[in-house]
Amino acid sequence: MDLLVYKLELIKIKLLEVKNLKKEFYKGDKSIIEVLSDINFSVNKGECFVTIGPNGSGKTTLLRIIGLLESPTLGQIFYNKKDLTKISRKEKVEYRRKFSFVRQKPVVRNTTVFNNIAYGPKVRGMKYDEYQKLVNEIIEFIGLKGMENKNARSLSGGEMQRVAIAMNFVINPEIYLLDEVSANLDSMNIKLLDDFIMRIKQDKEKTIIMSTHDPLEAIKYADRIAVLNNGQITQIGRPNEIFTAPKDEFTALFVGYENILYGIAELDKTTGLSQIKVNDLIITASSQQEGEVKVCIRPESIGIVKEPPKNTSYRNTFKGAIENIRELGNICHLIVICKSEKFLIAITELSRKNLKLEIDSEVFINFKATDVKIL
Amino acid sequence: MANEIIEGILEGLRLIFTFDPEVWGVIEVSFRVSLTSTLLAALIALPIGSFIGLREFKGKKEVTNLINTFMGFPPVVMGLVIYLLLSRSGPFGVLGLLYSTSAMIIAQFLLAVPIIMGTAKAAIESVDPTLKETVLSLGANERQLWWELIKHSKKSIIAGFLVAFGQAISEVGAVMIVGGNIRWETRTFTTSIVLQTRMGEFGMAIALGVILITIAFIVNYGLTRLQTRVD
Amino acid sequence: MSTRKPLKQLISEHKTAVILALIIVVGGSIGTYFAIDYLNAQNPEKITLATTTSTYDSGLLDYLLPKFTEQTGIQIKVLSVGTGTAIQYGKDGNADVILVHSRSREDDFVNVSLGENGLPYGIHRACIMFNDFIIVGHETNPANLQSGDSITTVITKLRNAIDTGNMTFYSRGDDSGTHSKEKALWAGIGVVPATRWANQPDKYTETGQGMAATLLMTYEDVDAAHEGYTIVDRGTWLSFYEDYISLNILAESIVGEDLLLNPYGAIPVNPVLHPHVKFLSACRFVGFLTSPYGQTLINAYRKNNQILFHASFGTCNHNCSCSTTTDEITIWTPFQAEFADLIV
Repeated sequence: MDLLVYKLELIKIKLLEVKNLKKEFYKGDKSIIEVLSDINFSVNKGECFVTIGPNGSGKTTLLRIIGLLESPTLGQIFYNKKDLTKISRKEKVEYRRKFSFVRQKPVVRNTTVFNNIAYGPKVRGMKYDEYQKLVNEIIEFIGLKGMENKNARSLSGGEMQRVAIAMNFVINPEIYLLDEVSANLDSMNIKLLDDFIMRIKQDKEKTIIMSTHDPLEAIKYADRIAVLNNGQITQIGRPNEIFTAPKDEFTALFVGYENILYGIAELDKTTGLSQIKVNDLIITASSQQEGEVKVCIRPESIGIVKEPPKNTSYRNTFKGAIENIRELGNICHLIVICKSEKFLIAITELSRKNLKLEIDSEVFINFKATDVKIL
Repeated sequence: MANEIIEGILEGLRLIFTFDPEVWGVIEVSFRVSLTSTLLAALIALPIGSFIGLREFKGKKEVTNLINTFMGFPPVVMGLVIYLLLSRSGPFGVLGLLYSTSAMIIAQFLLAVPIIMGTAKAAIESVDPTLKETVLSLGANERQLWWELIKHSKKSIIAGFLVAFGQAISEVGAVMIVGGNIRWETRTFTTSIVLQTRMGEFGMAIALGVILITIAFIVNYGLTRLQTRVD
Repeated sequence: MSTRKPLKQLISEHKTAVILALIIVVGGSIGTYFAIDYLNAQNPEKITLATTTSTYDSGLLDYLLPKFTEQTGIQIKVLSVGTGTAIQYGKDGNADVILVHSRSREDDFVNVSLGENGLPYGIHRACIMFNDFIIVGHETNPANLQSGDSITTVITKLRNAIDTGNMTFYSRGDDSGTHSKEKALWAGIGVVPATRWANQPDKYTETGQGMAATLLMTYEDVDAAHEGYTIVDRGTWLSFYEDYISLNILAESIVGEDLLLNPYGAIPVNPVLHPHVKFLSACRFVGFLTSPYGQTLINAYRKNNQILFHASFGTCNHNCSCSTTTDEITIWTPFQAEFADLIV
């Protein structure tokens, strides 16, 4: 985990900085609706920045403003130190070409799949000979080979979304703006989308700003998360900060709690289980995966005992100490440090009293391999 | 009277199919004038109208109101205005264009411009805003966006053109005043029908009426096809 | 995927050139158009004649003009409108010559003191021909017009019948030559119909339309009581009398009376006032109309085997109490020379 953070710190170049952003809409009766207020954040080059929030929290508007499709009422957006709110119509086109914007509902032009995907390169002045190969490659990648000359509007919703993603991928932008792209997708298309996003994430020159209302998706892709509620950012931080230490009730209720760990997975051929090395700990997971992974364990899935457990079916057992206790009515959250890692554990207030768990108590935590979710 | 109508229709068909030079001359003038004026109007009104639809600017509401007002401009009044302008004692009298097809083209052009402009503007404005944003976000500049929206709303734009053409070819007041209904030169369907009726020559009047109705039918059929076609 | 470039691709990659070509083609053709019309307007071999519907609609001009063009090569564009409009076209310089029927207004047209900037609108009037007006009505004849009634008797009978509400008179009401004549007839017995029967369309209807429409309205009558009367020129009547079977001629000019006669005059527009008018060509046209050749042609014209117009140049002092006959002969004789050898 620290390794990644370190890596980020090293190449931390503020690519995009949003300052005091505010957006108001006028309703028909001249009353004002504040959609965004006092939004401040910055996005670094190569980062995947995720805004999470319920419907109507202003995620889409925020992305549209960054994508220069709408002007803010107040505030500035700096892109490489250039204020995007104070540029001419012509410059706007220039900057828009550095962005791509994939929306929740795919919109394709009323023409063939090929022409749709070729549109981005074409408006940038590329000639047919130059983009022809590129476009055909992408069509193959999205699995629509043979359908190049079909009208994109006659495709199914999933296929259309693939075309829409390909349209944005082919222009090779510096920042990808993805607005709830996984909503309404079937599992096969989610897999394809996942491939795309992972491909972008591997390229450290490319930045992603995405919005979602799905906490798991946020954990999966985000380097940093901003929680948006009612037009305001309530919390910004790394996924494990957000999910183990929500700042307010809204965040806690909306995103839920997750233990998020970063590690390297190895497949154990004999047991068919994965061994994930998370700094000093080795966690066993039932799903099979190799390489750099993110791991999630829900706080309710972790058991806690005072004595070393015997004859347990739990594959993962670690010794640790309670660092902090948060009482939340009937439930209470315990933060347990096991070697390098911190775990959030949720138990009932009653069992805490029965077990006589206090700060600094020495404890053992355990959880099943099947409860370890690899993203 | 019923007999007269049937006789008139038969006479009309005879005139059409024996290629009566007078009837075909009238057809030629009507089409030449109305097509030229509508095409010319389209050439000018389409870019301007679509541009107004594309951009947001101060005074757009006033401009829209103005276009809408002129869309219903009475053709006879337009004829009168053009007459006064082109009259030898008017400001453009030196050109000597009164009672020529040019004068008719000018009048019909001015009548067609607001119609085509208004429909082009409405067509562009009615395009799904998400498509507009998609095209923008793919990096289109204003000109490319404009072209894309034009292509997208070509059906409505063609419909506007057809409406303007239909109005031009069936209009009588303005062409009568500025064209003068001169035989072989500025006589159109409508002015000819007026004249033949006045002269009691219903055969030719009905012949031209039949052609005019056929044209109106074709234009309207085209319009309906355009509006109901599913892609 | 084939590497063939679709035509559409080619076009879209050379959009500017395509649009430019389009503009040049359209602009060029329109420009040519206007230029041709402009040059036509300057061509002395093309003149514009503003005339009344009665001369044009009767077919007389379609019969006369080709013969003039054949002789001189001059083409004539005919604007067929009401007398009032035709005179206005002449005043505005939109016509080179006018051929109308309203003697008093023709005289005003050539009157120096009624012109513009001390110049008359037209130069030298010429009597060309005359036809006559008739009064038509239904067989029921509620005004009880008798053949042989003098015109004063006829008009008085009509006035009385209108006053008692027994009939409806249909008036053109459009400032045409026929309308002027009608007003003159009423004035002869001291009646101003516009005030006497103001706002009483069941007694006196102003149609505001052409002769044919007015005739049709008389025929149909408002309440189908067959009480309609109107005044019509004989030419128009001959075009329609077969259709309107229940209408009859109830009064016409009797020998020795010229009140119902309808003289037509031609006047070239003043070239000093409107320098662009083709005065010489216009004068040659008037010369043609007044020449023995033209006059014979007018007399020879038949519609439905009926004589419509009677040539009257040089003789109108006899039949239309014209006072300028002698002057007209002096002025127009030179212009008739080129048609002297022609025979019908």
